[in-house]
Amino acid sequence: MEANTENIKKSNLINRAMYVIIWLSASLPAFCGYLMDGGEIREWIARVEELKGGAFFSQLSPLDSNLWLLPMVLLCRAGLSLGIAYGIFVLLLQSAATFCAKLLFSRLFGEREQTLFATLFYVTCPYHIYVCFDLGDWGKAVAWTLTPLAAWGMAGIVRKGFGWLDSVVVALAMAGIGYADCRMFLVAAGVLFLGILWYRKFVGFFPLLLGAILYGPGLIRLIVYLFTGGDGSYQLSLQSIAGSGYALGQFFSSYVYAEGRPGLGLGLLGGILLSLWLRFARNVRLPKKADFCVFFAVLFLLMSSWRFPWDVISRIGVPVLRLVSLMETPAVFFGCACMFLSVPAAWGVGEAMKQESKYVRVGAPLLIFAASIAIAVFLCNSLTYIRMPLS
Amino acid sequence: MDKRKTGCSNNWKKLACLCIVILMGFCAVQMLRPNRQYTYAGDMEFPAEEAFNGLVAMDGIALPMGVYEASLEYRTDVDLGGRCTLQDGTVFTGGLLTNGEHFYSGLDRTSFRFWLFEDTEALQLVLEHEAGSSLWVGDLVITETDQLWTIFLTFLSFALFLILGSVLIQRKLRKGLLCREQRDVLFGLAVIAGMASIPFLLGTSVSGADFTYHLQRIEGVKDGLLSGQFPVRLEPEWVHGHGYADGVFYCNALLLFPAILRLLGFTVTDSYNCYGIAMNILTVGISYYCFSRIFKNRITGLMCSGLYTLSIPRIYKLVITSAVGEGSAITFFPLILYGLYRIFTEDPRSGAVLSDGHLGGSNSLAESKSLVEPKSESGISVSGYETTWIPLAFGLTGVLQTHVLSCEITAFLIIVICLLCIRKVFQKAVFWELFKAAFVAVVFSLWYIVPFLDYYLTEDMHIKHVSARTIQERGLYITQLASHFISYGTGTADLGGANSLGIGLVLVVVFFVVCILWFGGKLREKGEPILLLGKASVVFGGGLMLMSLNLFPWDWIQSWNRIVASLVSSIQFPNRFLGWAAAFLVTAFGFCLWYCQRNGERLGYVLMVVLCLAGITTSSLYLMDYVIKNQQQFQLYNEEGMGFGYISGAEYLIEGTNEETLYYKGPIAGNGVRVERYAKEYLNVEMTCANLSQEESYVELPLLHYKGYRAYVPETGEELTVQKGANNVVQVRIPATFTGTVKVGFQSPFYWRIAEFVSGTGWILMGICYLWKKRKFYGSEHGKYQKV
Repeated sequence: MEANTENIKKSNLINRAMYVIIWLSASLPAFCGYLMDGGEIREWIARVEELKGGAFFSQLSPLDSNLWLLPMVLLCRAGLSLGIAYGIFVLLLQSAATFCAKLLFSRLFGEREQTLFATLFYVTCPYHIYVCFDLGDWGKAVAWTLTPLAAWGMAGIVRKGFGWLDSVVVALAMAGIGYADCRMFLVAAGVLFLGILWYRKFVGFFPLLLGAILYGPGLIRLIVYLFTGGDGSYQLSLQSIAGSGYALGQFFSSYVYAEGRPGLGLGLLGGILLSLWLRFARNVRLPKKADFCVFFAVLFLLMSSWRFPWDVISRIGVPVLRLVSLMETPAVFFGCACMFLSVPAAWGVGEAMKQESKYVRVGAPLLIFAASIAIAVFLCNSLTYIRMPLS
Repeated sequence: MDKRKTGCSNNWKKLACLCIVILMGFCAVQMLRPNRQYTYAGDMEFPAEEAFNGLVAMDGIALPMGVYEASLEYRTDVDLGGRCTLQDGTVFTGGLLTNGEHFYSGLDRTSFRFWLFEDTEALQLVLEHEAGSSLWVGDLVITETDQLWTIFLTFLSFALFLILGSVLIQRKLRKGLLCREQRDVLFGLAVIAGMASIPFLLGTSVSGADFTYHLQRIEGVKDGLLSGQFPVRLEPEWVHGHGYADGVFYCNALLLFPAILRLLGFTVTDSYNCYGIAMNILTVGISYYCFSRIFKNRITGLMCSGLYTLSIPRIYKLVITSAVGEGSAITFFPLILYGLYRIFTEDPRSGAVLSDGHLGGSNSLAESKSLVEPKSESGISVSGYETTWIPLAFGLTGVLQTHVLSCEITAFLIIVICLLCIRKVFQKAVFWELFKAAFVAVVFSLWYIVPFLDYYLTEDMHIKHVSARTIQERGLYITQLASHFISYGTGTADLGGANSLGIGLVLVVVFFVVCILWFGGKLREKGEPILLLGKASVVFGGGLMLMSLNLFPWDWIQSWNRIVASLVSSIQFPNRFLGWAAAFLVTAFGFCLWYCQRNGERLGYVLMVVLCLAGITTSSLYLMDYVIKNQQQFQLYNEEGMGFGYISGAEYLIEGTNEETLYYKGPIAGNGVRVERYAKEYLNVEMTCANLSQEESYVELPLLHYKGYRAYVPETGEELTVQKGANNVVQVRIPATFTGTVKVGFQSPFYWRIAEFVSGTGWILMGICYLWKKRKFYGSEHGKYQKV
């Protein structure tokens, strides 16, 4: 009995340590003590100044708000330098992302190992690291943090029916995503909308609507822009994004990547291959409830491809053209694909841990965990010696 | 429930197959429709001082979706002084694919392809023009081709093949015909092939030093087939239509595949990438086949296949330098290794192996009914000594017909192995198998060897005059061998002449592991052939690594005599030895796994597996990521976009030919000769001429003179003398007072045709023997033989 308790305690400790490692490996640049120049970092610094000056909506990115920069402003006002404030902000963001991801995946999987690996894949995803540090788009970084929260709430509604907690969480998370990045709001809203139809849980429309209402000011600006082009002060250019997406081979990169197109990374790729191996070689099928994730993963992968006919879609009408231009690059959808791919990949690892062979049961998850962490550390390290401190 | 799911899945597959067949029928019907032609009048003159870029010469061209040939009439007085192409801002991105074509003073029309995947009414003809040359542009004629439908048919056929393949595999899985291990291996091989093919899945082509040359070879095979040559000896469009004997000296058998894709309408980039993927699949398959049979273990075979296919030297050759020939030759090295291993280690007294009925402990249906051949304990097929020549024969054929330099190195290694095993070589059975392998390889390759020797011995080729170049300074530094994180591309400059590659840390570690086992006395057991293989692998692997270094005294060896100087010079880069070094060291890796398994060293086995996986994921994939990011990439659609002039070192020109003057031009008539009508298509010329003088004269044609050109009068059959003219072009001697039509063309000498017949017969006989043996085997009692 005592031995069992000891084992459980030890197991819990290891589990918690793994989460700390995950969080740490995706937060390394925060410990630099300075802001890394490059990407959109200068724009975001300017937006911090905008918020200090009281501008809720950014002039640089008129459809996005500066709401989530409040912690940065407060930390700066508390006397911390921009570099330290940034570091704390990133650590908080990554902690929240890890927590929200764990929350979501524990609701989806129920099993500890699969939750751990799904969180690992989500947080250490090369696209997530790219968004947080290489591109330096803090809005999208916040959206990556809040998306699992919105999904958690909706998963609860799908499973148990209407619940106030779940609904409020969905609404707040969706509004938060909207105020962080309007593009991610549109994508998240689209996915949740389709999810409600997929699972036929129409009560889910209520929190979605509530979220839209809470995001009202931003949503109105967005709708006005899409249908009328705004008042001309937005200065958002119309552009074709076709041809700038991923080539098939670029999906598989891990260490370095072409401009703005990080790959799946070794860990996530390993998890996906494990799932495919189980399906083909061991005839172990993905549960039917995961079909939703697989469908959207494939859809988003296609949408992120350079062959996807974005310019044909843009011809539907001017609002669609504006909407497509707003996305700036199809690579955005690859990030969304990675979010969904975490589910089958984690499922694969979990099932592998039930196999007879010790090499597969222990070796495969160990290698995949190590690979995910190693790639995250590699990418963060690369950035710290490629990117100069912001002067 | 499972049965219903399977039934449902099968219904979908049947429906998909039906849809595909209907679509294929639709495509076939479209191909029967006559091809349309559209003419757009033009008459624009551009003076010499006027330079422009992106001038829209014609606008509003309306065309339906399709693959077309654009023929623009023009006149210019300078070669490469301008360019024409097509553009369309209204079709979707990727809806119009073309690179256009340059203008040449010797031509009066362009003929480039373009792919249009969306109906348009706004296609534009765009011109570029440099100052210093005049340009007149006339009518544009756009002719539809069937290639859009052949492309669709190819895709549909591939889709059908995939569906039928998946049905077959599912059936085998349901019947239990594929054991667990086989399924694991199949999956593993697919993953390895996929990983190795990443650089070919970018939609562009990664460009290395030899990239343009090999693209020209593929285009040359395509044009050669269109000109009626088979096999293709002289690439007709190369050297601006003069023809180039690359096909005679550099075997292009494997390039038939991408050339056929080009004929079906695929772009240059897509055809090249498909070839790369096909070579990866072939390498994975062949290396697995060989290593699994050497070590009689599927998992060992799988890991060796992964290490070999994703080895640094192979990635360097096939991807980084685009050395397609050498990269393709590496595919066949394991076959040679396996063949030699079987010949030298198997017992010549054994007939067919008796199946003992024990098949690795599994009770599955698949394993109780054996597949084609009897199985050993591990479940890997074995067969009698009389078949040991087969892998070696095919390996030698493959290397011979892909890369001559690799053939030189292979021959050298085989000679060394035979010298070391000289006593065995002179055993009747062993000698006979070696002879059979060599003989069959020669028979299979005779179609290539005879023309090669004919031209090499009878023509004064430039390749015979390049013995002076030294190679030692191009060798690697010793530290490079164990490089693990190799990042190639802009900024990673070559090290003082040495190319930045190595054999990889993993294989170097394997080398040392086997050395430690050997010199630690662990490999003393006699009579076990794999122990001998392990030792031989490190000896040869180590020796070949040494030969790739700048420490190796190549300069001193080159000073021995002319023949040696020529052979050494032809190697060009000592790093060529790393291909074989990789083959031997991967064999050493397989040996380590075998050793650990046999001695129950579980920790050692696990460490070796982790080493293999770590090597592949942290070294090979790392290198490929860097290549994809940093190396220049091109999207080439039509061959005209890259021109026809690049011939690398011009090795296959007749010595003394000035290639810089070999641009498109018309016939040059000698004194008294008047050429009235002249038409040239590929290497065939038809002209009507008259010699008004009383003396023999000549007409020089824009064709490089290689042995095999004939000129004759079609009406009478009279042969006219063909000889080398100025700058080694074809000169046809026109008799005095001759008037009439002369046809000139390249014709393979009769003994080349005999050689082709012999090779073709050899392949057919081989096929018949194989089918007969298989039938005989199936006809016997479940494939069991009685021991002789």
